[in-house]
Amino acid sequence: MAAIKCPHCGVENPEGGAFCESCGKALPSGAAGGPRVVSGDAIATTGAGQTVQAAQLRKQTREAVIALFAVGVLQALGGALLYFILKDAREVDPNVPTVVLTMSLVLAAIYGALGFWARKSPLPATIVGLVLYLSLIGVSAVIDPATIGQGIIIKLLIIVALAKGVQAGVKYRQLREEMAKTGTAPLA
Amino acid sequence: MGEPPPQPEDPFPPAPPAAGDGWTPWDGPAAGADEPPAPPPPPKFCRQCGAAWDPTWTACPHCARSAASAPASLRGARPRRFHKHSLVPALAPYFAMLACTGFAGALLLSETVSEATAEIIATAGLTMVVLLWMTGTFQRVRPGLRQAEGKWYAAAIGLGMVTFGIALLMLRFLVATLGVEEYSYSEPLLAEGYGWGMVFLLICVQPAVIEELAFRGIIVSALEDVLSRREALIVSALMFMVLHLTVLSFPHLLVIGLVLGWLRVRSKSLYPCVLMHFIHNLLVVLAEMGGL
Repeated sequence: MAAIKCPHCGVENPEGGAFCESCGKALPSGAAGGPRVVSGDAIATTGAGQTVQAAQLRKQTREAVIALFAVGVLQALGGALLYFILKDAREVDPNVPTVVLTMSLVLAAIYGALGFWARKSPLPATIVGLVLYLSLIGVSAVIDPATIGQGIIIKLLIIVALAKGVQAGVKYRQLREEMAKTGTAPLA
Repeated sequence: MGEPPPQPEDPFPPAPPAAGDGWTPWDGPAAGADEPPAPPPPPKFCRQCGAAWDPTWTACPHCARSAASAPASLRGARPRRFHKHSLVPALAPYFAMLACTGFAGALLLSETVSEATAEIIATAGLTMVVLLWMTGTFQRVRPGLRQAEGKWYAAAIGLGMVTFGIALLMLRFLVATLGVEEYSYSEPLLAEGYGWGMVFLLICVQPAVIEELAFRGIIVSALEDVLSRREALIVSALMFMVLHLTVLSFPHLLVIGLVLGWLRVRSKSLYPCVLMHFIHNLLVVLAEMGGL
């Protein structure tokens, strides 16, 4: 074990101390010129650490926002598609295409609003997004079980994306809690 | 007979022999060196903070004092875990209620039962689910089950009338622009011979009590574990909106849900919320009765 020789009195001190045990004066710090390794709770105390934390937070919100906006876009596209299909279908009440399109656009707007909300608060927004989507899937499954299989891959992908959005929201909340404990806020 | 006064302990005992005297580190103690090595002397100064060290100490009290005042994380206290699965207590009752509605809807669409019967089944199912859930979450909901000041009941009645007006306007607008038929809540029941009493129970009383217990009681308190109070109220209002499953009603349902959440917080009680919800639904039924 390397011992540190006190520059003031010459006594050897065991490694790890900051002051000489014999004369009480400060010892030179160990790894002069080497990188300072900071980890765990001390991350938030350094400027570089705070930048890392801010980047982590942004990554989580980005995941949440993208999931919600993507579902909104798919909803709008799906609604537009249905509109044109139903418009040309023969035994369909002329009101139906407009209603379906309106409902799809309302839902797309809701997902869009949730996406904007997620930029500040990813967790509640993604929870609502997932609940909304699962509820609507459940309803259409009950109304017409045959449609469950239609686009099942897309539906599953959407569910997975929204669930990952919720996970990102949870991670965001955990990061925030850790930062609150050390009493720091991330840079920008 | 005097005993000599006790000698003060020598604060600076002589240093032990330096390593290398008498034994080699690689081979262990050399033959002949059979005394155990002397314990290291106490330091004269603390090597962490430089304070003068009293030989009676076993630890430096200055370092211990500053460690005690450091924030908990630096002391290494276990941080509060944020459990992912604490979303379950909030979402499970919602999906249980959704399943009741879905089950009744499936029965209706398979033409196994009539519309009125499906409504009764859904209502009974929702009531049972929520009351059952209450048995497990009673302690969390209990703070809301207390009398509010009289003014909040008056406010509830007024707000119920206002939200009814808003809902009526929004629905009329949608019906006019999209040409959809307005849905009548009482018609299916009346058509099958149930009286206004049944309509009153199923449409005015039950939803007011059960939906308030569920959304402003169980679900808000469960969400507050995971979200801030404001976020919990917004999410619960959105879930309340989605549960009704009629996209065209979403706008006014969201308004109602947010107002009910606000009322819950300000009045500190669920009872004004139940009253407001009841008044709103009552006005809907009265409007249908009067042919509005």
